[in-house]
Amino acid sequence: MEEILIFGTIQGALLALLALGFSLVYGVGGLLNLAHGAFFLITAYIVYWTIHLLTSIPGLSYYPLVFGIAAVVGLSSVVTIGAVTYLGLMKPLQKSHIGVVLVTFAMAFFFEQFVKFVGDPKTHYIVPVVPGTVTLLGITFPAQLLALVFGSVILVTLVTLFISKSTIGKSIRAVSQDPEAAELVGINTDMVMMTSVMISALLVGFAAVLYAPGNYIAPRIGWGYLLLAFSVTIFGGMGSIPGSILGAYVMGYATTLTDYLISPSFSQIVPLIVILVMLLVRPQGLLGKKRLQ
Amino acid sequence: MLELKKVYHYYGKAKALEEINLTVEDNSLDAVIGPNGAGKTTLLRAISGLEEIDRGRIIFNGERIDELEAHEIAGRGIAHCPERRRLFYDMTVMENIQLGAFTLKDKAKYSKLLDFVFEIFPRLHERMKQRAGTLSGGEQQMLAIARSLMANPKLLLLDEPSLGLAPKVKSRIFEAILQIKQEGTTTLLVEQDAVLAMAVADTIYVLEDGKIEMSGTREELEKEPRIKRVYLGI
Amino acid sequence: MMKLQFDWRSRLSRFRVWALSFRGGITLLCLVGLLLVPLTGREYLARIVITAMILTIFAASWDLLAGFAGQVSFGHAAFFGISGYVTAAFVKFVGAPWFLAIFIGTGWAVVFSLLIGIPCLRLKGPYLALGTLAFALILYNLFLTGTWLGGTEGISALPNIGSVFVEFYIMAAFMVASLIIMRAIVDSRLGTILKAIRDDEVGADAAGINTTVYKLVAFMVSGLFAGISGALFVLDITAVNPAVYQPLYSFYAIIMASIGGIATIYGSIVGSFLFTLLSEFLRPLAAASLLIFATLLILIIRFSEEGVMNPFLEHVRDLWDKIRGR
Repeated sequence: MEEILIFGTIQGALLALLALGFSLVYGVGGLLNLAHGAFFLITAYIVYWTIHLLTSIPGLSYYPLVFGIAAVVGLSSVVTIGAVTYLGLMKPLQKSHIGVVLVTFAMAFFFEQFVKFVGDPKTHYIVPVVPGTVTLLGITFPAQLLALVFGSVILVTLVTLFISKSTIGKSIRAVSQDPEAAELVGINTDMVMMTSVMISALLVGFAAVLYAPGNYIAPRIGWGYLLLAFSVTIFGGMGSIPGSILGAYVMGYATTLTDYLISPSFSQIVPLIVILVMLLVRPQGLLGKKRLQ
Repeated sequence: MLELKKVYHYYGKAKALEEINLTVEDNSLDAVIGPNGAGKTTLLRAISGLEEIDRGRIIFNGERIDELEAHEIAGRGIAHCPERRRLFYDMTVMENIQLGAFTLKDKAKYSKLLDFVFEIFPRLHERMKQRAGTLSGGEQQMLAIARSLMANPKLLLLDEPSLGLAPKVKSRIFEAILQIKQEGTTTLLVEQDAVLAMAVADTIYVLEDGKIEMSGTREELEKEPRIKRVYLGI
Repeated sequence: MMKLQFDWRSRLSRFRVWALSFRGGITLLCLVGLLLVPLTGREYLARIVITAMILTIFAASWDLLAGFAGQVSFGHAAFFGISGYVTAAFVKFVGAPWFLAIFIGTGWAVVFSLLIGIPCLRLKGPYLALGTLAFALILYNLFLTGTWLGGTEGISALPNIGSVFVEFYIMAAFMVASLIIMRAIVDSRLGTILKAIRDDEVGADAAGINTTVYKLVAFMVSGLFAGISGALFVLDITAVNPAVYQPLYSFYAIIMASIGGIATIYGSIVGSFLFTLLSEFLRPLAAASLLIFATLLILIIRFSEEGVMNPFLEHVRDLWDKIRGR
């Protein structure tokens, strides 16, 4: 029981970081970003490469500093990539939603090949920045995962507050409700959409910075994270921010529960079945609006 | 203030606007009347940049605006209060009002406008924290006008403010329009209810089938037998 | 006797008019070119073209469902894979002749199209996309973790259906027939109804069209042709493994159909041949090949919203008209 609580929370924290941005981008512009998982991939690799590069410099041996620099480089790169992707690829194809789907799919494919070409197809390991293990409620787990939970809770809270309180946040909500009316009050909807793609990239970048250390990375991992983000978002309701946070934790506990009750070999299939049942019973998701596009 | 010169707009091959010439003078309240589907809404959408025009030019305070994007035109001081209100329904009344002032940077002006808006629509003040979607039709129309006024517009475009409202509420809205006129805001009003529109407007344009068939002051138009028969029902 | 002769003559003259028209001319030219490929005696080229022809059917089946009925599926690999597996199993374990196995495999694909289509009827847009994707992924994981039908290894060492060149003509016949049938379907009353549902489902419903039934029919027809292509694919490479259910295969169909031009059916030919030939020509570049391929893909999607076929044909037609002095 304690195991489910702890590992479910960890899983939920990861899913929240992955899904919040994906849902935001869909909610604001109706953009289905299939390169979302690739954003995770590229951040993880940039962090890995930067650490590799920095540790070869003599005198730079304090790992948290090295990792910190690498994280900043990774996050700023992925936010830039997000902005460029929006301006160069999504915005021109916005009118046809299938166009956005295709071009972001091609983007994801591109990043997978890019990582393979620049690096190599092998798996790599990033040393956790928070060393050692923690024991909580009698369960021992890597301390890095505690950093993931804290980081996720802080970021998700900040982004939620930003969207509900700040002027930019209000304009994001305005565009998601009625883009034309938003234009009429003087909001540049393209800028707002670009901002939300950047926020989304930042969140998924943070997921990579917090979760990739202590885990293996390989060129194909992006697809798995995309599927997780997509599933949680559908589960919580496309475009609903509270929905995707709630959905993340419900999914987190549900998958951990099935891992323990049934068998970990089914853990790949169980979330998919959960999604299918969800789609059949309540197609708009947990907190989604009744009206579907 | 605003001048349209030989403006054409097509939906595919269908002509929606044909050779529109129209001038709105400073501090005036002008109205466009005409039947459903005549192109009244399209006309306002073309001015505010929601529709791209196919030929002609639109000049606002000496500047060509027909190639600008809608949010840029809003930034120049044209506030378009769209047909069927188009509020941000999941946000509160206050948030809608704040978003109306999106382009306004002057804090002092903001509170002055807020006072004015609450003065002409006291109901909105009572419902400040309510979600816009829960308001009644008349209150929603008030909020839509209030939102447009908060931008401190040089030119206000009002699309069918009386649509779907009870007669009593209609006249309440038109009282407010007159108040806005007295404050010196130039207004272009599009309205199906010709009697109401002609009662308040300085210059009236009659739009039929995408073309301006007639224009003039109330006195001039009231002499036209066709106007009398079709629009005023006398 | 007289009547028959008369019929023949009118058919013949109609064929001549069509053949001399722009589209007819291009089609005939391509068909003749295609049939001449084996005569070059180059086995390698024939193999590539065979793959392209099989993928054409697959892409066109997606186009029929997405482009015409408006049901964008992300899980087309499910139909492709199930048919491939059943075909392989019947050939390998039952010893069924290949042409019979195709029918059985395709039949299973149609059954699965109903299994997936019925629950997905209420879904739209991204919801439908994820729903279909989830189905394909479940199959992928079941075949990957299960021990049935060869488990992770799959089924291999199937007998060849003939020499490369014999196989070439069989595949060409399947492709031409499939495309003609699909085009006929979308040009028929059924096609019109599907387009009506795509453009305005509520309106179609109000007009008395039973949208549920027609959407299911679209799923079944699409599943049928995806099944045919899956069976042919497995017979061509003489092996099958769980990888056929990968989302990648579903996306190949989407990409090939879109490169050619959505809602055209024939665009799939252009898309599939371009896709296959491009990835084949880039192969010598080894590690860089897929990177260049991905870059080209982004550029094609970015700069050809209507796909490449129709704009290209327009250009050729202009040239054609100029040559003929019009």
